Amino acid sequence: MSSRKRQRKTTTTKNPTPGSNPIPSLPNDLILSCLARVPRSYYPYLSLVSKSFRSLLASPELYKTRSLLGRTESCLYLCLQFSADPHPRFFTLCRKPKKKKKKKPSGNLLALIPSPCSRAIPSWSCLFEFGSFIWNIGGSVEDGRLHRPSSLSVLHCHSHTWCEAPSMLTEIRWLPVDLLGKIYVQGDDIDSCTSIEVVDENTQTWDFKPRFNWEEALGLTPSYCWIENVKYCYSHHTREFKWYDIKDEMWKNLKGLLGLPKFARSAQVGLANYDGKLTVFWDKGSRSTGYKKMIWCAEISL
Amino acid sequence: MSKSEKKIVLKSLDNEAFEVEKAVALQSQTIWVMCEDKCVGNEIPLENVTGQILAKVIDYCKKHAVVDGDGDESSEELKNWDTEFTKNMDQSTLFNMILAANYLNIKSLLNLTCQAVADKTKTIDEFHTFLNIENNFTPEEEAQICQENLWAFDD
Repeated sequence: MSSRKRQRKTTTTKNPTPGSNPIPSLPNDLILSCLARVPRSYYPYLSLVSKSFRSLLASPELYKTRSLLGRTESCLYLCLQFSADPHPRFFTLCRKPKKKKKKKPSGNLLALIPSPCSRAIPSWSCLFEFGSFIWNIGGSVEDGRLHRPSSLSVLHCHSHTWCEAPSMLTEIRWLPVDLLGKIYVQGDDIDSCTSIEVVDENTQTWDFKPRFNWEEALGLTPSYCWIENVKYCYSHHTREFKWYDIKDEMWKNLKGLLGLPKFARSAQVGLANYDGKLTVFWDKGSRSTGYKKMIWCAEISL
Repeated sequence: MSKSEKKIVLKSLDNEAFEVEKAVALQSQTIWVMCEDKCVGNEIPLENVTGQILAKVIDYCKKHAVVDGDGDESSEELKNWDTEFTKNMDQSTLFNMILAANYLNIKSLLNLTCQAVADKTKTIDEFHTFLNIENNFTPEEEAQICQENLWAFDD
């Protein structure tokens, strides 16, 4: 009986192998056309297919094909800095590789972007996303004042490579802020009309900007994000999520949050807009994990 | 227009002849250009497509020539038909369909078949078999990439 079983097994595995219908190989442009239709979150995992496949997945042609097909999609990036390493590391959310016997990969993983940010993070640093670029603006604090960023680098999210960004025109006074997809920084001279600089998304150059409602910009905390022209933030003070009501010109509590734990006072909380959903990252350390930090993530549909 | 002018004969690589309505065949840009450019008569030789694949391509074109331009309900029906069309295609047929759609320049069929490959291949093993490529990473390289790339979230 066992031999019959084995025999049957051999015949079934032989079926798809060459014989009746040899499988034609596709030229690269057609493989790209297929790959461009696979969700991007699978890419880090699929780079294990083969060497040529790995370079295909990092090629600019793939992203050209994706945008031609209208297959652009949001990708969630997480920047983490470890205490022993001054260089921040960037991760993307991707699919978990499947276990041999399971049919499909399940769950998510954070995949490290292979090319590290060459610049060490200075004493302050802010990240902004512009289309397919992430700007890392950092500077130093001396005598209680911010100084012109010593490092301005840009991560290209398609090729995952870093390049230098043009530096700002003047010394700046406050941390840069992101208002509806533009980076604003306030210069040293608070009363001057030319004290605000704004970076142009397309040309990636800095320009002076007339005054605008700076008050509103200063109401932010590091844990904030924009979703469809509404600013959301997490207040570490009250440990609540808030949104800014432009009509009433005030922060209001976000209601109807279910299933989200109350974060520890010491928790680092990050907010992001992921495909129109509010995504929250927070860390948690406890005795049971040997005080190792665990990173948690939740998606909130708005 | 006489009856014969409305029909066209497509001849496959293995000399199989298919008589089809011109409106059906002209969904292929390649055939359209051939008809426009040179007087090939009523018979068009297609040197890159076998009879077995051409028959399927014609099925697709017939379905799309009939339903195109109708209301919403039929476009939904067409979508379902498309799903069924590629659902049980084996890998070899699917690849040959992609190559044929590319050669014949039928955009919608190329989109459909490439999407079918994307839907059917989500794991590394599937890509190995589907794209007929081998894993040429050494176990050490593979382990290194896993180490570099993957940062467990949870479990």
